Amino acid sequence: MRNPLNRRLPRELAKDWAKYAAIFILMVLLISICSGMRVSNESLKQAYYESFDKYALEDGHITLDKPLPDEMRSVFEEKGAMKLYDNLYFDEETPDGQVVRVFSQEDEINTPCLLSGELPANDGEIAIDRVFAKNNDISVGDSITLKGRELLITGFVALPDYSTLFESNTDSMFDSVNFSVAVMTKSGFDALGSRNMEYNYAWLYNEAPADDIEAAERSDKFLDVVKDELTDYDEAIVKAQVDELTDRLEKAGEEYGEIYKRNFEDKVSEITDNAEKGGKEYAELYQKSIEAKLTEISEKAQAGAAEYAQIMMAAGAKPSRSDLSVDVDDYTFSLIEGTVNAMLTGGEAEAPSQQELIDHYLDQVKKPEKSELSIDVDDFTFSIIERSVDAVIRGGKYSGPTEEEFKDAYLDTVEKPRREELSVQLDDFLFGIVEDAADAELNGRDFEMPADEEFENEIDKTDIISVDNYIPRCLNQAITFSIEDIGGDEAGTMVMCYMMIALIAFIFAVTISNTITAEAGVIGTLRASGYTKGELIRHYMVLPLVVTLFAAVVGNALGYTVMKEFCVNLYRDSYSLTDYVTVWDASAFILSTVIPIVMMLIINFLVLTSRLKLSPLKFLRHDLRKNRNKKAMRLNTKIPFRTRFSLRIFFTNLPGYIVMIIGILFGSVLIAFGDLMPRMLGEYQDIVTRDMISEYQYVVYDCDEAAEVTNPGAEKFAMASYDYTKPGYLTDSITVYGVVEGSKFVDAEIPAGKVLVSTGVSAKFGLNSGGSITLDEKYKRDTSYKLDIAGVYDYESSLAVFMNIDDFARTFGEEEGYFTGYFSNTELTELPDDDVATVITASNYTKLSTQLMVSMGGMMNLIKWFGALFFIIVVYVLCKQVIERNFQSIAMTKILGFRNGEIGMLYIASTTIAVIVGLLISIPFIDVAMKLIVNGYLYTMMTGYLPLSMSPMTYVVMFFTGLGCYIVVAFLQMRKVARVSKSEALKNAE
Amino acid sequence: MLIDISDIKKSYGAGESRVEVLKGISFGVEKGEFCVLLGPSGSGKSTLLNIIGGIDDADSGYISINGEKIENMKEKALTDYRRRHLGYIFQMYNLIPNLNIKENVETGAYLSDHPLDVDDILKTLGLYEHRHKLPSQLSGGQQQRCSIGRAIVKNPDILLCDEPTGALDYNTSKEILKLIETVNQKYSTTIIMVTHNEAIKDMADKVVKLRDGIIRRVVENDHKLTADELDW
Repeated sequence: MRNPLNRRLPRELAKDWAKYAAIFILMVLLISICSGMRVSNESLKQAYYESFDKYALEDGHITLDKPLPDEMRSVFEEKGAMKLYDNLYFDEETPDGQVVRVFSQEDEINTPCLLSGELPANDGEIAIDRVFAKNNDISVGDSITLKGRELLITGFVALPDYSTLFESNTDSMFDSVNFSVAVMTKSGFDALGSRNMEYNYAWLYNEAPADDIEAAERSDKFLDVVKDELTDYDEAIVKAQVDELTDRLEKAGEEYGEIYKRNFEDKVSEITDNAEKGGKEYAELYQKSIEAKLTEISEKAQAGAAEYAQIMMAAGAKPSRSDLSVDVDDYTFSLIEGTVNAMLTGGEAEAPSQQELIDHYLDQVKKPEKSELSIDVDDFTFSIIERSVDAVIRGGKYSGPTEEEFKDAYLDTVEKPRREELSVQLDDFLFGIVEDAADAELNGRDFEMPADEEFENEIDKTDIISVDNYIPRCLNQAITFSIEDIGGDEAGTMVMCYMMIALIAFIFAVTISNTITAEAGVIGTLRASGYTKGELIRHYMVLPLVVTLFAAVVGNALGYTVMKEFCVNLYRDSYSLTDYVTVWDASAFILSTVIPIVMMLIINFLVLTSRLKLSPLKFLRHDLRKNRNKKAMRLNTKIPFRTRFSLRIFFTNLPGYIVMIIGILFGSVLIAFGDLMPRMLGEYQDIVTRDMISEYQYVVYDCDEAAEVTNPGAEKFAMASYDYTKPGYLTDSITVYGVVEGSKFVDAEIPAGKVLVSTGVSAKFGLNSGGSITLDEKYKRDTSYKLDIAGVYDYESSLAVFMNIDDFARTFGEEEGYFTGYFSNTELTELPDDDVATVITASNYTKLSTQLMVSMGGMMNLIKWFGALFFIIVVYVLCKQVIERNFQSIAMTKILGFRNGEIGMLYIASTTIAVIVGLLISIPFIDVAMKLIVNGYLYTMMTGYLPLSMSPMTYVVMFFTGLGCYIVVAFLQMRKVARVSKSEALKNAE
Repeated sequence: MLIDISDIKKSYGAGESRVEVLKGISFGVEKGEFCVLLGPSGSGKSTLLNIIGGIDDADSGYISINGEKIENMKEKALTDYRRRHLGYIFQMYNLIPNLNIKENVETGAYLSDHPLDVDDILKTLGLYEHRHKLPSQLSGGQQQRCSIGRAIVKNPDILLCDEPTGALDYNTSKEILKLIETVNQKYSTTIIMVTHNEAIKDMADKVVKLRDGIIRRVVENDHKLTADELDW
């Protein structure tokens, strides 16, 4: 025979449909959230992992600035045990400044998943990313302008290698608002003719790596291969060019020398010609002067001789030179003496030859002036003329100036060969080298070739291949970020849902408890008649379980359909996920159905066991107190009657009110959480802007090759990322900064050999002065660095560690003087773009909160409204219980003459006390709960750091939302009190 | 002897507030016997009935049913004992308000491996026409009849009645007593009834008079009256 007690269950349901409906709705919502989230997560995860094969997701990619030569591709494929696929793209900006990364449609690697519309079929067509399109209100059929060309958007796609829209792997946050990927047909791709072509090659290993660590190790090895091969390749190109350059320089040098020599010789000839012409004229003029001198001397000698003879004849003695009236020199005087003496003695005086006279008097002959010459000669030529004529006059020989003398005199004036005169083509730099070399040779100096770096611009880099990007899949945020996030919320949401389900179980327990009180006589009779405690427990548990079971059925149905879609869309609003197939996972059933039912079973079983533990006799006597000696609480009679009445109701219904207060706490936490998160994100933007170490953080590719920055406002720093894993937490990436001593940007004294941790690290991991932090190399086994913490540096933007730059180099095995980039509050224009790997500005950090706002804003509002709904339902159900439990009393007070309003106030007042108490307790509770949620959940389930900041407005919003919800419930209960029938209540009394 | 009650003592409270309710009660009830426990309020008769019914326990002494002592029984065995052997009727009917009359009776039938026919019982009780009504739609007498039906439908060996007419008017009380008498005769059910109504003693086979927790007299009624013949 079927238990006849079961027949009362549908009637019980019908009688109290509002209560059960409210609980049912809540359970349906909670279970649908659990199942929907689980199914969506599992479905998306499966779709994600299936997309590896389905859409031929790359194992990594390398981006070069030139096409990859075939021979090198073969080497890469062989040494890397992989196959490389062309995956070329270019970035073009829309007129609104958004960046669109266009790929040629691929069918072998990273193939696009078409989500709506069609793939492009013609040159003027393009398919863009679905999330970007949604964020920018773009529809299929719209157009987008790239490189001045309007392209028709034929469809929305998701690329498996861009499930998260990171423009650059070094970006701290993705940007699905301003960055998109797109595909065009091969001919359309080529026709657009972008000059920003990136030669991107994606690879797939011949044998897939077992895990991320193996993938990282293999990618490290492949990177070594790439480096070696490219170095060899580039060096060969450079060497060939250097050799050719050397040949050209040699040839040019020779040619230059010849021309220069010829020019010099021409100059010498010109000078010689001039000297010859000038020499003749000069000699004539000189000859005239000499002849005039000799005539003068001859005349003086004749006159002198006559006077000499006269004086001697007159005086008898030889006159002295001074006795002569003619002014003659000693030589002429001696000639006079000789001539006169020979004449007197009858001898014959020996007359000097003309040459002797010239030799003697030449110095007294006035040489011709340069100006006297009819031709214009320079001093050097004039000196040649003078010396050659002088030599001839003196009977000597002058062979002309030496070559050295000519060089000294005329090398500067010799016209140097012009570049055009050379048959070898040279630029200014190379021609300068030739000139310098020739000059050195002419001047007898050693020539020193310029340093190799100065030849940098002479090397044609057209064929030199550089790596712009090298990212294995496991390090590619665009691929891994989404999957790390999907499921991250699941555990927390589940726990929250279970806590709420537990609360609902307690609500059931409270209502059942009230039913037991009301049905004590019946229970006593049934027990006395032989019904076992177990039978009654089972009976009273049926309804909660049936409601839970039906809620599970409906919740699962909704979860697998509406809620799954909702959860999937939550992720799809943020991530460019490929299409998915719903996975009917057994675990979803266990988590969303079995666990809630088991919870309901256990909680109700425990409460019922406790309540039905009393003997049948006690039930028959309606004596349900466990402690017989418990006395009624005494209330001060000075307290007004109505207040005492309400307090009595409050204490009588205390278990129900305790559950209600717990429900209020839950609801309040949800309302506060929904309100707080957007505020926290807003606050975070302010913190990030305030905490920026510098306006710009320039990260260079290679500190040895980067241009030297002389801007005094710039300061070198070193930076690296390492993993930190605290037990129970996800592995976090910690940014380690090496800063110079007395840094202008990091205002802290860092003791040598120690580090300062950021406020974020300290708050998240509880690390402080005196402790230590052990950082691990990413994707390298057994490579760790233990750093002693000297203190905490006030920096909340991210998880960071600060140390001296010298310690940085020493600790992480870098060379002395190593640095990564520059802090600067101004743009460093002197740093060439080619040297800069990335520039970190405030927008890099605020991008995180902006994207989180876009991704989470809607969800937060939902949580807030769900919290309010939960609040209303819990308060409604329990408030209803209080009224129903006191049906008789209410009827009695009505009979006594109390008005409906007064009775309502008496009973509502006690509930109001509970609600106000609940809301007030909520304030510190939320504070604690938020810290627990953030520290215990957010920090352990999420990487990164978001500082917890509680806005007072959150408490205000929570309090008044709660109060508003309660006013609605109170209004409903007042109506219920008014409807209590006096006769009905009394009729049912035992 | 179906029921052997031997030196039952029971007290409540402790110290100065200790009240001895039963001070050594001993008597026996034969199978099929109609036994009335008579006495004023506070005499201990309901306590004794509850001890016999296994819903209260004695401080000392024992009660054995068919030679089986119930104080040695654990909770489960005691429940089983009540389930198999006992039917209970209380002054308050304690019907389940959202089960109809037939269903309320069925709650008793459900407990027995060999229940009586519910419809027969309802007809016997005069409730067949009202079987689909809820308790709140019936009078007090009808509700008490229903509670009797619930007690006897499982065909108990012993029917324990605690002031079954205490809340009923004269006529209705007589109807109920007639029913109990019928049950006693028709099903040979042993009946122990607690009452303070002196008139009812006349329809009993045995009357145990109690006062202040002790048996004042045990009367074997050789000339018992029918319920119809009772008057008070």
